[in-house]
Amino acid sequence: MNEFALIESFQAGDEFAFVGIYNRYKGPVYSFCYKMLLDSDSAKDVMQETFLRVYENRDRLLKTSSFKSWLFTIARNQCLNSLRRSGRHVGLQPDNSEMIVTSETPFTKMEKLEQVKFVAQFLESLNPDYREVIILREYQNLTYEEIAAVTRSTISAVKSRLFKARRQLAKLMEKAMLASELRFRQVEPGDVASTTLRVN
Amino acid sequence: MSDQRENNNEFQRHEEELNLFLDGELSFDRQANLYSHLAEHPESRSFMDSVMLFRRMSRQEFIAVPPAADDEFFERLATLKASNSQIDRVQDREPLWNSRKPISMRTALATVVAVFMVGLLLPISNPNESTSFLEQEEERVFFDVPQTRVLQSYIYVFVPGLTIEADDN
Repeated sequence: MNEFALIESFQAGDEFAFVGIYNRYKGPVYSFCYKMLLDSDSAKDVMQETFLRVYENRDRLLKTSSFKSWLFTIARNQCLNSLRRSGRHVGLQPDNSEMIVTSETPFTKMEKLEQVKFVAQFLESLNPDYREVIILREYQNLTYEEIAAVTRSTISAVKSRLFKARRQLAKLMEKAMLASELRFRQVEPGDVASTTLRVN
Repeated sequence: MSDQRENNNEFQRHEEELNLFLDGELSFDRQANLYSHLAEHPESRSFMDSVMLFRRMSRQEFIAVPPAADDEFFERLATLKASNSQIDRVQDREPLWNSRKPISMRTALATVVAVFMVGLLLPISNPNESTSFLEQEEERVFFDVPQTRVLQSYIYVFVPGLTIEADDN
C-alpha cells in the first residue's frame, strides 16, 4: 500500500492504516529525534508525541504537499521544544576537540564505537539550527526543498546552513586528525605493535 | 585587494559546487570544473574527505526503535482515544438556555415568590383608555364612488406602421 492510500484510509477511519503509517515512519522519526536530542529516552518520548499529534490532526494530512515533510516538521518542533525545556545545549569547547580521539590509533582506524562517539560529540557541538540540517541531509537524505519545508525556511538558507555546518565539521575533523597523528607518532615502535593488536 | 576578493569569490563558488556535488545536486557539465579545482587545491580535497569520512562514520551506528517504545506508544494512543471519547464536544457547545440544571425546592419557591412580587409592583393599565395613536392611524375607505361607463364605441391602437381599429359589433 502506498503512502497516499494509507493516509486516505487513515482519514476514513481505518485504524490499521495508522498502524501502517507508524510502522513505516517510526524508524526515521526516532533516528532523527535521537540524533537531535542525543538521548534515547527523550527521543522515544518525542517520537511517540509526534505520532500522537499525527493521529489527532488527521484531517490536516492531505492538505500538506508532502507527508514526510509534515511529519518531520512536527518531530523537529517537538525536538526543539524538548531542547528548550531541558536547556541542554552544552557545546564542546574549541580546545576540547583533542579529547574526541581517545585512542592512539590513526583516525581512519578508529573503532566503531569511537566513531559513533565522535559523531555524537560533533553533533552536540553544533547549534541546533545547523544540527537539524546536517541530520536531515546526511541521515534522512531529504532534498533541499524538503529540508526547507521542514525547517520552514528557504532553499538558499538551507544551503547556507548546511555548508556552514560542514565547514565546522571539516575544522573539527582536521583538529582531531592532527591530534590523532601526533599521538600516533609519539608512540614507540614497540608500543605500535601493542596498539595495533589492541585495535584489531 | 581586488585579486584577493576575486579569489575569495572563486573559492566560495567552488565550495558551493563541492557541497552540491556531495549532495548529488551538481549538474554533470559543472563537475569537470570541480574536479580540476580539487586537483589544484588540497584544502578543498581535505574538506571533501572530511565530509565523506563523517558520512561513513555516521553510517556505523544502527539506530533502532526500542521494542518497548511501540507498547508505550499504543498505550498512550489508547489513553488519548479514551480521553477524546469521554469529552462530548456537542454537549460543550450546547447553548446556556438549553442546559438543564437541578435546583433546590427552596430556590424554586423563592423564584416564584419574587416573580409574583414583581408582577404586583408593575403599573396596571385601564382597558377603557383609548390611545390617540390608533385614531391617527385609522383610515377611512369609501365605496360609494359612481360607476364609470365607457362612452366610446371604438378603440384605436396605434403602433408605428400599423393601425388596428375595432368596435363593439
